[in-house]
Amino acid sequence: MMYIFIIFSFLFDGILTNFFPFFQGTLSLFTPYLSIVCIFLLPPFFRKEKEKRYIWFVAIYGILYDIFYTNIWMSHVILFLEIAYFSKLIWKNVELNYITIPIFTAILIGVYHFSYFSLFVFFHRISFSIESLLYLWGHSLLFNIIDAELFYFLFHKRFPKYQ
Amino acid sequence: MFSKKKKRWKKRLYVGILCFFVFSFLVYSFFSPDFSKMESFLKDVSIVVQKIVLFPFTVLNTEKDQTMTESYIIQKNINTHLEEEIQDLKKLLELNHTLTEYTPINAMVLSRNRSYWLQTCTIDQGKKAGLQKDMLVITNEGLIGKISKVSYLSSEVTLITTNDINQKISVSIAGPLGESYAILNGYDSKKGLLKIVGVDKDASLEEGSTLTTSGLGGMYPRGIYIGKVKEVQEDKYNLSKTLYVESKQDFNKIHYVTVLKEKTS
Repeated sequence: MMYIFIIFSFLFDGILTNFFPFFQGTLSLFTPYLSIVCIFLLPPFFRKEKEKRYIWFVAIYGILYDIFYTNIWMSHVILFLEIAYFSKLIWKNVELNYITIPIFTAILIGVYHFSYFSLFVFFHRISFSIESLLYLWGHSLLFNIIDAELFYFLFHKRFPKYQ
Repeated sequence: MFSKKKKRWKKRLYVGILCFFVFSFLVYSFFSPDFSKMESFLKDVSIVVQKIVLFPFTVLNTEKDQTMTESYIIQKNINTHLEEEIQDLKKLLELNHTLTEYTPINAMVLSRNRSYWLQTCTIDQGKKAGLQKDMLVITNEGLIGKISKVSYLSSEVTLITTNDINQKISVSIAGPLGESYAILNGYDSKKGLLKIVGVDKDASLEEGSTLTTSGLGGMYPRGIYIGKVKEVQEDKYNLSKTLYVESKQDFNKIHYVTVLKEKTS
């Protein structure tokens, strides 16, 4: 089931951009960032001696993501490792449930957008606009929160020790 | 004790080297004008996978052939009035090619690239089909972007709506008293219009004027339709004008495109 979730998140992140608006100023509330949700929900499957494996998994996921979807190599290796670090911290220190999952999903998506945006500003590719950043963040919450809740529910039902 | 410390330092060194390698690759990727050989190879492998995944979504689409033919015919018609003139001049001057001559190559959009800020997408034609960097990409509604990177089987198209401050296209505006030249410089997301800067303050322009590529600099073909002027603004020091142009293209619904390959011989 975990593998299905990973493949689903990876492929649908790309496919859905062809069907939902992904254009400045016209984003729908269904902007997919399923990969971030995937990285956030996976730490319980990589506990103790498997922790290193999680880091390697995220790094490889980031490389593949860049090859398939961005053409800016290594950008998502860094971003996804950052998300993975925060996810691990959250899973270690917070008791997650149906209320906290959406909150942390929103925070992690915010961290991702801010980091990616900062990268572009740092390399002088785009000009700074906090308004655009908030617009993008606001429009990428609903769909991904539903995705996170759905898979959290499925994992919880399927694996009783998922916590 | 010493060996433990040594091990820790070794670990830190490896992590440091790895971080340096990753960051160097990132910087290289940000500033490289094209794919390296390794990037190109991996990109092509990913394109094959993407095509297989997208097959069920595209196989039943009847819009494909229709849109492809339309975009070519419409762009051809825009320059129809020039065709005769071109042929005459070519004979007169014994020219082999002119700025308005090009070969259309059709392609399918495989995915929107996830870099929202750069507004790029990937198409399923590359060097194999003769595509090169900076070739213009159109649909039946006019110009939509240009090719920014090419691998053997695919290309990355940067849309004219990009936020990237390094992407600029030289354009020509047909006013009532003649042509003016300016630079297409991004997109105003609040107004939903393309932004044209650096227009001469004395240029006679009005709403509804047609915007096309200028062909200046020899990088792109001339006369490719972009849109119509919707708003003319003077800057606060009255040194130049800024135009806001409406493109008919819905940039969220780009599935099939045509790349204009210039005839070189």
